[in-house]
Amino acid sequence: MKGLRILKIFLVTFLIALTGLTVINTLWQIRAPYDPYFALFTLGSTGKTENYFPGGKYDIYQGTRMSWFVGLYNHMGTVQLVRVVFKLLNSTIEGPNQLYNTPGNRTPFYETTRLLLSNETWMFPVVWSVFNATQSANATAIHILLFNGETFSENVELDASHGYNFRMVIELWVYDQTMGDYSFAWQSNGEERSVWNQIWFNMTRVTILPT
Amino acid sequence: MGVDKRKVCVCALVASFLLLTSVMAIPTDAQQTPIAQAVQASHDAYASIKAADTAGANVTVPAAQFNLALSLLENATELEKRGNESQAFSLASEAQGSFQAIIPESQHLKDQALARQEESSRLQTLSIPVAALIIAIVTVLLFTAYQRIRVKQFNELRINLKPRS
Repeated sequence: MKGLRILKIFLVTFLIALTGLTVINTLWQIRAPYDPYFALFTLGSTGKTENYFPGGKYDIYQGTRMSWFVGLYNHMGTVQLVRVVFKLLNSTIEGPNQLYNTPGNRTPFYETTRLLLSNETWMFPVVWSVFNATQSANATAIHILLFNGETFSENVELDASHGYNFRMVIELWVYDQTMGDYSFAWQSNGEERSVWNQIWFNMTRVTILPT
Repeated sequence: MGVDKRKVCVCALVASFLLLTSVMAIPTDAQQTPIAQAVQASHDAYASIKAADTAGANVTVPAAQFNLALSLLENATELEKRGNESQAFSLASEAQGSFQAIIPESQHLKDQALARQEESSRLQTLSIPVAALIIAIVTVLLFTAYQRIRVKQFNELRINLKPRS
């Protein structure tokens, strides 16, 4: 009788423990829903969201040196092959569209590619200036950019009415293995997403007027 | 009419020649430039790193090697744009070699990670009934110890209650 009672206690405790531990294990494995995303940011010369232009004047001249930091954070959950592209646009050329996930309607003048680990933040400095520009009665035209020590004339040529509303557009393109190419938009929980930055500037005068 | 036929024949010949030369001009894989080959190798290397990462491997080392090879490839592309083809192709071949070296390394890391994952899953599956068994044994031991104490206490009580003669 005593042996049977002990066996009964053993079996009941074993079954309760087995059920409890299985439930705990299952709950442990159910993770919170993951929201994959990329964060692209552009910081000013001090590494903050300020001082994008010397003296805070976004009406620049030929030779005005801009010093920025471009950063990218990978929260996609896996390694990602990414490309950051730079485009010079004005207000009339179609820029990137967050709603339709379409990129700016121009070929980039500069691009840089990198493999980013999961949760890695990649920051790189960008120092640029307008190397050559001309001014006419009602427009300013940019011909050559000095970008990270190199001159770029291809896909840079651009004019703006009275020198107003030029913009430096920074877009993120992600390598899509199924497409075998870089794509401006990516899938995140069944939704299409894209990320880009833009910084507007004017060039109402090519050179500083002599005082 | 005879002249027209000859003209048609000549035109057809010229057209077929042009078509043939244009088809032959399409580069095949073997004719790809070293830069295009390096780009292809980079995509293959990326696929292998991603597979290893998805399997749970630590891909920090192959990722760093990949980024070094990428900078070589970017320099090669830049040199090609400037017209320095020989140096560009030499750099691209170097990059291609680096990308190709990443593939077996990543595969090895992936295999290791999968083996680790399998072992950990087996351990996890086994640990639940083992833990339940330990809990049951401990409970039974505690119960029997408790019973023994209670019997002892009862016996002591019986001795104390015995009427004195």
